[in-house]
Amino acid sequence: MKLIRMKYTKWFNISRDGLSKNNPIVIAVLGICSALAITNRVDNAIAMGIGVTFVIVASSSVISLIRNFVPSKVRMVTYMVIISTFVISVQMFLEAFFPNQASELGAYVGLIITNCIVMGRSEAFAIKNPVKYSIVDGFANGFGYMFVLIFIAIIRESLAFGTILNYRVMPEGWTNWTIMAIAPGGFFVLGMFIWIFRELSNNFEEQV
Amino acid sequence: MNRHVKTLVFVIMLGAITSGTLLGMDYWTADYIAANEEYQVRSAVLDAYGISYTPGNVHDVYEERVEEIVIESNGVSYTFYVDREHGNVSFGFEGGGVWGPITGMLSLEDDWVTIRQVRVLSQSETPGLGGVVAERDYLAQYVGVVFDEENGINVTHSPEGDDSEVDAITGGTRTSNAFQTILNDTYFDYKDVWETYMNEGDAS
Repeated sequence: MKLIRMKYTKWFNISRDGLSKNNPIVIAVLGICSALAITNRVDNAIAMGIGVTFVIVASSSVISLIRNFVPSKVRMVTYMVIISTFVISVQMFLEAFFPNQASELGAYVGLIITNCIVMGRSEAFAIKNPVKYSIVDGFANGFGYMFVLIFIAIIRESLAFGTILNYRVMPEGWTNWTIMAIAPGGFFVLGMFIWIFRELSNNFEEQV
Repeated sequence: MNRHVKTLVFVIMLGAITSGTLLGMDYWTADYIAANEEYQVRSAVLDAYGISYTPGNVHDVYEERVEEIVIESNGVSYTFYVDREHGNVSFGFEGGGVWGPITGMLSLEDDWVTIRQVRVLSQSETPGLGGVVAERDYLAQYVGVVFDEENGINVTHSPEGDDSEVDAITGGTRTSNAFQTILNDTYFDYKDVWETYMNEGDAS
């Protein structure tokens, strides 16, 4: 009974939207550049997923907090400035206190600024909703992005390098599929994943 | 008019708050970042010379075992990190990769042609492809490689057994080419400056 009641709460619907119904990658097809670039290794996918989730949650909550003061003409610039501030702050923090992780993630942290999902959630949700719901939306979209990344990375890393998280999973003598390590391999796997996900969730484009 | 003023005030406040945040972050982290960078360079040099150290005594060991020689040439400062005991030498390299700068340390034997160690300290190459250039397993094959007097080292997909050849990165040809150029350019630059410095020393 509790589960049925939960289905009608705003929290539940926002979470379901981000994770599956309007998943940023498979349904909205946002954040594809970074998804193709970094999903050739599972550890990269996890790191990027955590970074993007943090930036979406932080920027969405700040934008939601100041939403009544943001002039509509400069709202996009406002999003960019706030998102960039968070990304640069995260980069500085990592370089100062976690230098090893910073050198591993160096290229990806900068890429977060260009991720359309972060800007998309600010414009589509945070600017119109209170802080508490913006935080839930940030987590839902961040996790929705991360689980797709990890799924694709598991397939690509195992085929491209014969490993998952650097542990050998393919038999000795396995020939690495180099194409899976580069962007075309990412396109194939992502395309298949989007197709299967939409088939299973009965999500189709409306006929015009 | 009132709306324009409101927008202007908002933009100024946003700029001030975000700039203040970043300045605060910079003030808080700058010393730590500089210390981390210094630690990276010093540990790379000590590793290259096979000198053992701990994070706690790295600076003491470095001061005792390594001599820093800074030479000015054509308005540029060249820093050499010389092993006081064996005469091995290291210097920094920096140059353009495919997506951004690649920086690191190149260490040589005292014969000035044999590589003791190559360490990449920062890079922005494609993860899993060109990014392999920073992996220690990949860089281990540079140890013992000899700089050819005219052509330097050759990073190639089809090595023929020459002692100046190194395997290129599979799927990272452009990064391999860029890395070869960076190492060779840096090597010949530093070698010229060092030889001039030594000759001047002999003359005086």
